[in-house]
Amino acid sequence: MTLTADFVIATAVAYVGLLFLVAFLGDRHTRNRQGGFLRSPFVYTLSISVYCTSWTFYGAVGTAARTGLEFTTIYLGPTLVFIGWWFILRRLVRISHDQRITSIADLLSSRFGKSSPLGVLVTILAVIAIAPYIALQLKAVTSSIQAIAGSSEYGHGSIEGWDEVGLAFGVAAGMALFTILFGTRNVDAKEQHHGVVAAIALEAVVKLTALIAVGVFVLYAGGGLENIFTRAAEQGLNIHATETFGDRWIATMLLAASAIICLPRQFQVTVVENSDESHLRTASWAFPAYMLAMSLFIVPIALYGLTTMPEGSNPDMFTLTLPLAAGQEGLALFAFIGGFSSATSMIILESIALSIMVSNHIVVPVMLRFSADDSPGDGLGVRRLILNARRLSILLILFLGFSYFSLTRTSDALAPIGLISFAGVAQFLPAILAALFWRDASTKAAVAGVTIGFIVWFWSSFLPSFASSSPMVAEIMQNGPAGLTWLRPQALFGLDRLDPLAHAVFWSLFLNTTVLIVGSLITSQSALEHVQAAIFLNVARHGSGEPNPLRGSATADDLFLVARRVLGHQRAFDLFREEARQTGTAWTSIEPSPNFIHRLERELAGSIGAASAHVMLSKVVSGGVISLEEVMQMADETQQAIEHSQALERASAQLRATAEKLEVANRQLRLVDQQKDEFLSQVSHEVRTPMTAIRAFSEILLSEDELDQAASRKFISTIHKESLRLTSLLDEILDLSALERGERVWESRPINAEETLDQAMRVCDALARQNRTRMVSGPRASVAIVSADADRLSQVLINLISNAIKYNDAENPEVVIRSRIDGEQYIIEVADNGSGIPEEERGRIFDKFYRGRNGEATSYAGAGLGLPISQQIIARMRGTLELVPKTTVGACFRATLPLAEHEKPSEPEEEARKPASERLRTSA
Amino acid sequence: MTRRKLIAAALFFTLFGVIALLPPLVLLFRFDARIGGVPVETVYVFVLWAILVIGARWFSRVLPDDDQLLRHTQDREP
Repeated sequence: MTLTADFVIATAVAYVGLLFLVAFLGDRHTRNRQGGFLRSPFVYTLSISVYCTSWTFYGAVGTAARTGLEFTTIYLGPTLVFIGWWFILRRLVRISHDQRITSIADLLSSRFGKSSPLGVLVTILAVIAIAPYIALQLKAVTSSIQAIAGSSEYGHGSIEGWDEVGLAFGVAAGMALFTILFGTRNVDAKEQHHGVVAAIALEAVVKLTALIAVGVFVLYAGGGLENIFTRAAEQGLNIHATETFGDRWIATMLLAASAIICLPRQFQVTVVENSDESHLRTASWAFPAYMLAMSLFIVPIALYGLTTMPEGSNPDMFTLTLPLAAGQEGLALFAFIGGFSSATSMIILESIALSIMVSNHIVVPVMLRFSADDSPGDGLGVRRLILNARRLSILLILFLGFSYFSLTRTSDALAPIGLISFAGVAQFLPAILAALFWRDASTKAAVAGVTIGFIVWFWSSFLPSFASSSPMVAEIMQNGPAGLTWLRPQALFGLDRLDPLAHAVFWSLFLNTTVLIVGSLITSQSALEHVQAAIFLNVARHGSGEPNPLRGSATADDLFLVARRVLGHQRAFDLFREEARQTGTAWTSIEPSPNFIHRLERELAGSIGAASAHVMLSKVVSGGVISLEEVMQMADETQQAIEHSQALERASAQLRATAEKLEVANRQLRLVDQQKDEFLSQVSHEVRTPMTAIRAFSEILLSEDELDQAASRKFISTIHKESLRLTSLLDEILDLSALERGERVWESRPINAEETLDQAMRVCDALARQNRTRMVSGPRASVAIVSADADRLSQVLINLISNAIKYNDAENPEVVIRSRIDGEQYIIEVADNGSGIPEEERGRIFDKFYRGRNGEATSYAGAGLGLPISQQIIARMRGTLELVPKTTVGACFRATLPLAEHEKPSEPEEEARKPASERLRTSA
Repeated sequence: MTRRKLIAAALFFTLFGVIALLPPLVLLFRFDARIGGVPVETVYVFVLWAILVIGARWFSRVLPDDDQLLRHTQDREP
C-alpha cells in the first residue's frame, strides 16, 4: 500500500468523523449525568494541552534543528506558570467562576467597569493577533499533505495540480465547516463545551502517542540516544554551539508564559471550561509533565533527521518524512493524524473562543443598540443571532488566517509565525495582571496601554512578516517610513542590538506597561470600575464578597422578557420558577430582589458576556446608577472600616499597656498614702501620751492648793521628764523626715570606725552597769577606715547597743559587740542573749513607731524611731543595717559599711542627698 | 509547615524555577561536555524540568484547600 494524498485526506475526514462522534457522546454524557469521567481533572489537563499545536508537533523539531534548545522555552514558560498556579491561575479561575466570565475580552471588560470599548478592542486585537497562528496550522497541515503527496509517484492523486495556496484554502474551508458544526451547536449557559473538550482530550492523547511513536522509531533506527548525538557531532551538527541562552531565550520564555494565560483558547480551556477549581491542582503538574513528554524526543528526531535526510529537506516535517523515508507508512499515517490532531484541536478551540468574543462584544452590543424596541420575540431570535454571529466569525477568523498564510507563504519556518501571535496576545498580560492585583488600574489606562502595545507589536513584529511579499514593507524595514530611520520596525529608536523578536517584545511590553501604570496614576476610576475592581480583588482574597452592581426596581415582566430574549423561553421560565419557589410567591407576582437581578445578570453574562448583559438589564432596571454610587461607597467604606479596625486594634493594645502601668503606679500611690496616714496617726498617738501626762499633772498642781512640797516637786519633775520625752520625740521625727527627704547634710570623711565603736561602747557602759548587763567585746577588726560622719555613726551604734541592753530580758544579760572586715566591707554586729525578736515581728522591726511587744513592755519604751533613723543613716553612708536572720539566742543587728578605699570616688554626696525613696527608684 | 509557609514555599519554588532557567544561572551548564552523548546543557534543562514537575506534584498535594475555609467565612458574613 502506498500512501497518497487522497488516502490521508480520507483518513483525516474519517478521523474528524470520530471526533464528532466523541463530542456528541460527550455532550450527551454530561447532560445525562452531571459530570462523570469528562469532568475528571485528567480530561481537563488533556484539554489544556491544546497548547501543543502543530507548531509543537512539526515546528518544534524544526526549531531544534535550527536553533537547538530554544524550542524548550515554549514549554518551559507555561510550566512555570502552572507550577505557580496558586498565584495567578487560581485567582483567574475563581474570579471567572464567580463572575461567569466567558472569554479574555470579557474578563478585561468586566474588571474595567464592564467597559464595552475595551471588550471590543481586545476582541479585534485578538482576532488580528491570532491570524498568524491559524496560518501556522494551515501551513503545517498543507505541508504535511504535500509531504505525503510528494513521497511517491502517484501520491498526489486528486490534488494533482493544486498549488500550496489552493490546498491551504481547501484545508481552511474544511476546518471552518468542521468548527461550525462542532462549536456552534448551541449557546451554552457558561460557555462550557463538554463535547468539544472530550474531543480535544482525545486529540491530545493521539498527538502525544504519535509523537512518542515517531520518537521511539527514531531511537530504534538511529541506534540509541548516544549514537544519534555522537553521529550528529561527528557531522559537525553542533546545536550546542548556537547562541542559545541570550535575549531570545528570555523573550520566548516570557512570551510562552504569557501566552498560556492570554491566548483566547488557553483561557477558554483553562479558565472557562474549568468545572472545578481543584482540577487546577492536578493540571499544575500533569500539564508540565505532558509538555515534558512531548519535548523528550524532539532533539533526537531533529538530529536524526539532519544526519540522515538529504540536504535541503524541511526540518519542520521531519516527524512525518523520517517514517516515510524509512518506508514505515503506517507510522507515517499515524504521525500525519497526530499532526492533524494538533492542528484541528487548536483551530477548533481558537475559533470557538474568538467567535464567542466577537459575538458577545461586537455583534450583541450592536444588536442591542439597533433593536431598541423591546419586542418580546420568541426567545429564539437572540440565540439564533448569536449562533449566526459565531458562525460568521469562525469563517472570518479562518479567512484571516488563510490570507495571512497566502501573503507570507514564502517564509519557511513554522515557529517564528507562532511567535508573532504570542507577542501579539502578550499585550493583554499587563492589563490582566493589573486586573488581578491592582485595585487602582483604570479603564482608560488599560485601553491606552493595550493600544500602544499593539501598535508597537504591529509595527515591529507583525508588519516585518510581510517583508518577503511586499517591496514596500521591505523598504520600510530597510530605511524606516519616509526615511525616518529611528522608526525602522526592527530597530525602534535605534535599538538594533537585540534579536528582532526580543526587540519587539521589549518595546511593546515596556511601553504597554508604562502607559498602563502612569495612565492609572493620573486618571480616576468611574463608580462601576471601582466596584468591579473591588470585586475582583475581594474574590481573590476572601472568596465572593460581591455587592450587587445593579440594584433598583424592575418589574418581573420586564425581566422575564429580557431573559427570554437571551436564554430562550424554557430556561427563562425555569429560572423564574426557581425564584418563585425560593421566595414562596406565585411566579407571576415575583418581586425581583437585587439578588435575583444579579443572578439573572450572571446568567445572561454566561450567554452574551458581562458588558452586554449589563447593558441589557440596565435598560429595564431603574435606579441602577444611584445604587452604583451607593455600592461604590459601600465598597469604599468597607475597605476603610477594615483599615480603621486594624488601626483601632493597634491603639487599643497600646492603651491596655498604658492602663496596666497606670494601675501599678496607682497601687504604689495608694500604698504611700496609706503609709502617710499611718505615720500621722502614730505621731499623734505618740505625742498624745506625754501631753496627757503633762496636762494631768499640771491640772493637779493648779487645783490642789494643799499639796506638800515633795509631792508637787515630784509632779513638776514628771512634767519636766514628759516634756523632755516629747521634745526628743519631736526631734526624732524631724530628724527622720529630714533624713528621708535628704535634707540632712553632713560631711562624710574617712574615719576609723573602730574608734567610733569604742566610743559608743564607753557611752553605753553606764547604762549597762545600771542594768547589770555584761558588755563583751568580741573579735574586733583593728582599723577600719570608712567614709562617714563620726557623730552620726556613733548615734547609730549607741542606738544599737543601748537597745541590746535595754530590751535584754535574760537572767544574766550579756551584749556582745563584734566587728570584722570582709573583703571590701566593714561589718559590725551587736548581739544579745535575750529572748530575741519573734519571727512575726522581724519583718516590721525597722518600721517607724514599731516597738515590738518586748519594747512596749519595758519601762524604756521609746518612740520606736531609733531603728528607722539608724537605718536611714547607714543607708546614706552606702551601707546596710539589718537584723541577722535566725540566730540561736537573742537578737543580732548587723551594720555593713563599705571601706573607704573601695568606695567609688564619683557621686559622693549627690546620691546620698537624695531621699531614700528616690534612690530606691533609681536603683530599680 | 503552616499554611502561610507552604504558600511562601510554593512561591519560592516557582521563582527558583524561573531563575534556574534564565541566564546567568543556566549559563553555568553551557560547557563542552556530554552525558551519554547528550550535551550537558540539554541534560540540565530536561532534568530541571522533571524536578519542577515532581515539585509541582508535591505542592499540588500539600497546598491548602481553602474552599471549605472560604465557605465558612462566607457563612459568617451577613
